[in-house]
Amino acid sequence: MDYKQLATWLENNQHKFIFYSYAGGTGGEFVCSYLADNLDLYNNTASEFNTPYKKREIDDLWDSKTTNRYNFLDPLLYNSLANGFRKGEDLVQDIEPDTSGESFDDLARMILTYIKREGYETLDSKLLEDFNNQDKKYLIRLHRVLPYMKLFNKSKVYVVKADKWHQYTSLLVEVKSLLAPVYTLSDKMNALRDAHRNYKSNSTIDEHVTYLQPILNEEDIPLYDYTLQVMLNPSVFDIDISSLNIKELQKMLWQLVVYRHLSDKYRIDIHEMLSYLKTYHMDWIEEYNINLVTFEDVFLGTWANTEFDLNKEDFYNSMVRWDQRNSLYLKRLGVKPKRGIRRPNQVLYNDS
Amino acid sequence: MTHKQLQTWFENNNHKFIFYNLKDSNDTEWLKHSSTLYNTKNDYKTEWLLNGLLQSLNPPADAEPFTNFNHLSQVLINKARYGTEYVSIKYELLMEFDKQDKEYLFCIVQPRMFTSLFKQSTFLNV
Repeated sequence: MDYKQLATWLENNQHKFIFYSYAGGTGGEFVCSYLADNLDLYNNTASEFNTPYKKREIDDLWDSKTTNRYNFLDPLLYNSLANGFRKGEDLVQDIEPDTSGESFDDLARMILTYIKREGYETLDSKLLEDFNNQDKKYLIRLHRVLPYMKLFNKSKVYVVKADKWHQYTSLLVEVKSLLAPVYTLSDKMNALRDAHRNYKSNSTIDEHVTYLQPILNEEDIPLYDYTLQVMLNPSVFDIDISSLNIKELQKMLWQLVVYRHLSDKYRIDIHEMLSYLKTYHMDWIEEYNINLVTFEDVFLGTWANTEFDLNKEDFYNSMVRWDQRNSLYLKRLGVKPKRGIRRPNQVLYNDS
Repeated sequence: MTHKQLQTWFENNNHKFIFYNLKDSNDTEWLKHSSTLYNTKNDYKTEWLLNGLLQSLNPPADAEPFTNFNHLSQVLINKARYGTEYVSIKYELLMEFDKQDKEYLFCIVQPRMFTSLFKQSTFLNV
């Protein structure tokens, strides 16, 4: 499939797309999975196609029982939109997003470039053709709204804002997305290999293994994703890890991650997951026909009931269980939300 | 995995299932049936193929028995992903079972929920 064909396909099928944009760590993949499991969406049909993308995925990619992170697949576009487009080759966070994408041709080129960088030849043309020939909707998750979204004027676009729960959701964003720990030797080695592949480190894997050695076999000691990011991108983070052993480095990073959400600057920039929009492009909200949804309405099931006619109580109960698992996750990492921090269902946490 | 994939798996493999009604926790009668099973050795009571999902279903006493695999699959997937504790179902494990002919033993405590649905399965101690 060339970019012209993909551009045509995107334009012809955009009326079937539902976009759900959220801050990573605040339950987006959980919500999307719930919707796909309880609505007649094309996502279920697509999941049964044996795409090259799916072959590289596994059912429980993030060890959800431990991390409470879910894995919502995008067999049509190989998660390209969820991961955004960056100008740089490396996948380091905070790299400037590629804000081009003035036409479907541009966007198609960006998608194909992205998937090649991820190691795929092309998208699954049989699956795209099958989607083209039917009328079911397809749910796509996003983390930020970029200029190309103006092309999707026939799609449904939801953006979640945290509002009064911003401190708590920011904590989840940080602790779930950045710490994202693994515990077993095999998981630690796999995480290191993935990071080494993604970040194109100048050091060898063996050198990193030597550095990690004191915690590799210690299943009670997690290895954070953020640790790998710092280890493999020393010039980006400007941290001299040679002056710290792995335990000292992780202790420092834990503090950095766990307390960062309390800073005023961070709260203003990130808390509503609208940083890019609010800072630079408030006009897009109307222009791109964006539906702003509060985290509270999502959590309570109001949004799912209003927009998709799902049972509000069932949805809410699922969100409560999801958040109870967040509490277990935070507890295991030794993270105690600051006294006074507002959390949905506060009554659940009076003893925590 | 999706509801439909689990449903298809049940439909294609239910003739290989043995349900043993574990009436009390000290019951060892089921061991007599364990010699030629797909279950891993010494792993008969701990159900691993579906990660304990079907075994741990605990519907109310007056719940209607399952009458179609679609409904059962939806209940199991929802329990796995959105229950009190996340339970992983490994699609690859199910596919490996699908490709072979040995039987698999489920030790259960509520056979009445399954007897009318798993018509091609064997029920023991009911």
